[in-house]
Amino acid sequence: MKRLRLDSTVIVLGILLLTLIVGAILVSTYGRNFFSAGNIRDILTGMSVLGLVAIGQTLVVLGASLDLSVTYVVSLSSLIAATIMGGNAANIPAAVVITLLVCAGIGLVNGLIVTVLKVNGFIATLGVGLILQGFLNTNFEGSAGNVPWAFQLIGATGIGPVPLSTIIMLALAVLIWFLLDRTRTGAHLFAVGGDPEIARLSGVRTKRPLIAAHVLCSVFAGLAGLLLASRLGVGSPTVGQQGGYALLSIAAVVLGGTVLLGGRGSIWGTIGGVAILAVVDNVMSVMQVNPFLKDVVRGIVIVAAVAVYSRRAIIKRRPRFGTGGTRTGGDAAAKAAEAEMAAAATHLTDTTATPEGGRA
Amino acid sequence: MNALRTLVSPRGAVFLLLVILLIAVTILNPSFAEPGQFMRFIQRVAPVAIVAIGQYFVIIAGEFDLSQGSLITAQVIIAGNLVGQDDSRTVPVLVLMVVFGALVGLVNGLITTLLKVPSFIVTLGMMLALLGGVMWWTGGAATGNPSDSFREIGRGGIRDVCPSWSSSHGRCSCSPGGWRSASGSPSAPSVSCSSPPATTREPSITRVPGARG
Repeated sequence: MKRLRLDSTVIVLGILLLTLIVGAILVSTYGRNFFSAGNIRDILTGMSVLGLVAIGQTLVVLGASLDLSVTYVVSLSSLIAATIMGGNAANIPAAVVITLLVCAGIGLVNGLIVTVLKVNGFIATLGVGLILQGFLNTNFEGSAGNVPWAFQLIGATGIGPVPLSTIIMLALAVLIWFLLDRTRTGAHLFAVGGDPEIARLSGVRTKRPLIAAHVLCSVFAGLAGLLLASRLGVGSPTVGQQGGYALLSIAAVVLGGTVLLGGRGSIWGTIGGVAILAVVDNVMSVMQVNPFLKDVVRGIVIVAAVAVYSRRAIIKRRPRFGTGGTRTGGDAAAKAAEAEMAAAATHLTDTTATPEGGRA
Repeated sequence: MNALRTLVSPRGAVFLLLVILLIAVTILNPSFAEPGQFMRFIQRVAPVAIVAIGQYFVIIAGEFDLSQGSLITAQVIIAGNLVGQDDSRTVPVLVLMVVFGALVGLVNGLITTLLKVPSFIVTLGMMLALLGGVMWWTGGAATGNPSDSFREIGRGGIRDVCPSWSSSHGRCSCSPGGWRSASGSPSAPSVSCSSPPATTREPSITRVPGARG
């Protein structure tokens, strides 16, 4: 049987292209131009907040964990930032730093509960999320704080049709791509997500990458909260829940081809997944679909899009050999080492064949 | 010694924790331990217990079901609207709701197994679709005020035991009795368990936990 060997990111981009074409046709039947500067700006603006949350979520999902507390981190971050700023532009740096530190602290707690106490990520972050929700509900009755105009500009300005918030989001995506593909922490995160036991036997410290992923995830949720505060002008205790960021970000991550069980995926797939959701949302907004019906369509689109590539086993592993692979040295080096390897292999089978024989 | 070990093991620790919590709450608020209060507490917990029993099947298979909350909301709204003030519809609507729930589960299961979509995503999509669909139908407001005979299932009891609790146990364990809830009139028929005193005509919709978390 001939099977297409396509990278999952390529399929995500294909689905995105399909969504764009269908969306453009649907929008044009309503006599509107899908590719007008204003509409493109709307789509990109819609991408930025969910994009930030989803980038962080990608890291956690790659490590075979989940973060359901992001919704509340987003709300908390918007409140902390807006309260500390208090309408004074001089407080912006302090507010941003303190907000992100608090978020990093929450991420650290998540990471430690998951790795040290070995609580399932779903349950651990659900619990932390509930604690945060309780804190928000008891301490804030409504929106609070005041964001100075200088900070509001971040959410309001752009270069041409591209909003500044989207540029920030994409720049951070490049940073995370670098982290995942070019650094030791990234490689270890893939290894731990794929199989923590094998990673441990290979000499990887399994806790550190996962803790780092949780910290970064909360920091990214904090950045999303900052962006929302800049857009709203105030901090809101319910802004996270209204967006439903926890589940939607996980949906975007899986839509982007990252395996929910961890170990495989890419940041660009996630951005593609976020873009698909944003385009679908935008098309429905232009067509003035009932907001409740939007949820129905969104649910169907998420399941259908994931079904397209879940049916085929096409999610590519990272190449181990050849260009871009993890093996160092070329074929010549492998040939040269062959004799040594064979000797080592026979030595190994002599001594350790029996005790390991029973394991599948 | 052996019993102690069982209590500390993961299986026993849950009950140990429950006992500690109950004692702590009772110390903080002694009225909690009164039979009437406690029965009402159990009545409130019953829906969560029933839902958790269902979730157990999915979790033990290594999957998720996020759509339960939305399904509950959908069931409440659909049942409330279909039953209306007509007592004779109670049983058919109950049967329809069970069939509807099974159908939603079947769709979840088929998409998970046949289309190989992770159950987290399937049930997330189902959650959005169900809640959105039902809200679209009702316009976002809580509608439908089912007849009293239908509400008796959730509010009344069978000889002092709340039916939703005993059914989740699989058997009807009658309590020693002797207690009556504060508002329960002595002249009421045999099904007079524990209608909350202050809230005699609360709209049934308000008890539904929010589907989104």
